[in-house]
Amino acid sequence: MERDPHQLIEGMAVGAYAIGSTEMYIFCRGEFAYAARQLERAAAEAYEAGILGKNIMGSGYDLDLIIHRGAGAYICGEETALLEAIEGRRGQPRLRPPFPATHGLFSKPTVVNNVETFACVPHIITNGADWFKGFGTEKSPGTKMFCLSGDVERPGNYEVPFGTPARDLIEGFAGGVKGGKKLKAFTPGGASSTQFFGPDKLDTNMDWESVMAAGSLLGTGAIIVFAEDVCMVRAALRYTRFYAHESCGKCTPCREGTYWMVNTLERFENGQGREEDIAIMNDVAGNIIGRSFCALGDFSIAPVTSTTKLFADEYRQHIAKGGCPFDR
Amino acid sequence: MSTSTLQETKVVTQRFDAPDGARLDGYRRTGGYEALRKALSTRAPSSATQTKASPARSKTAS
Repeated sequence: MERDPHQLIEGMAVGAYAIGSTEMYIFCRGEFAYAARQLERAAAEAYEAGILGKNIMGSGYDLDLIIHRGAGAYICGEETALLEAIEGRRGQPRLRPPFPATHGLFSKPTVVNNVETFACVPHIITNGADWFKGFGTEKSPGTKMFCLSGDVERPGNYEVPFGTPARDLIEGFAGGVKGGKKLKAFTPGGASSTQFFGPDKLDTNMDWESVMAAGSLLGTGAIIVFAEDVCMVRAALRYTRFYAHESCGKCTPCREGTYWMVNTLERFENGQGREEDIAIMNDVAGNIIGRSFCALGDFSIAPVTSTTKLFADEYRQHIAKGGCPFDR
Repeated sequence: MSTSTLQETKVVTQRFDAPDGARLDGYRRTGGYEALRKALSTRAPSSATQTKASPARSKTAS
């Protein structure tokens, strides 16, 4: 969106033509003002050059693009909440079915895809399907932009074929754990990884099927790295606070459950954690998953379920010490 | 692993470091909008077949 906006517009235009749609929308999160400005400038250039608008490139086909700026809600990444927001309502997920493919934006059949997916399209059209399938694995063809962040020497985005081992990304491209420290954990797929990975999962190939077989999800490909001196209880608290803040409030289990998980995690950090709280949090988590409209609720439990499973000893250290045992 | 042996495979990021990659002139100079021209010159079902044969697997938004 920021550095190659025309690639996105072109990929979307091919997609729109393929399904016979004359309208395209890019929903850009409100915080990403620079991305929205770059897209608006690119769209203006494309209209000026006859690539968008009436009779695009002399083909007789009409195609319009609307850049829609959101107001900063994480939930609007959920496709039906996104459609609601474009239609001018509060960003909350819709009941499915019907799915957007039959009843989407303004009740019209709609294709909703991530910008990275659309950005691949011009390359597939130009070079052919077999060329694209030459990257990655059979079930995860192509490349993926992995975002390395947290305790690494060289944080950033790295585009590699699907199936590249996590070790190459963390120790190779990102230069390893910052300051020569040991790795404690990493997320294979951002905040919405269903399971954090420990150092034993460093040799997991980063494709959809391998990450799933290892017990988590590739999600956004955001690899967040935690060094040995990070408090995983505090990390769980930070994540869960985020989900509690971003829960749209439509479903009671997600709205109330995230709130109570935050409350309980705060007890551990404040020195009031009890052994039974570990089970209580997991009970709350079990009442959120599968009982909410959308994936935000399902994913919101991962920091709690994952850290209580992998780092139960850290919770117990909080109980024994009467607070957080980590200095950092 | 030594970093010197690692190379990115730049498909969607190949223009990211070009000084004018974000502008129409720079995009067109590097083959931009030729895929759309190619698609528009075919009947829609054909380009749909091409992308369906090689799914850019839909990435989750969460």
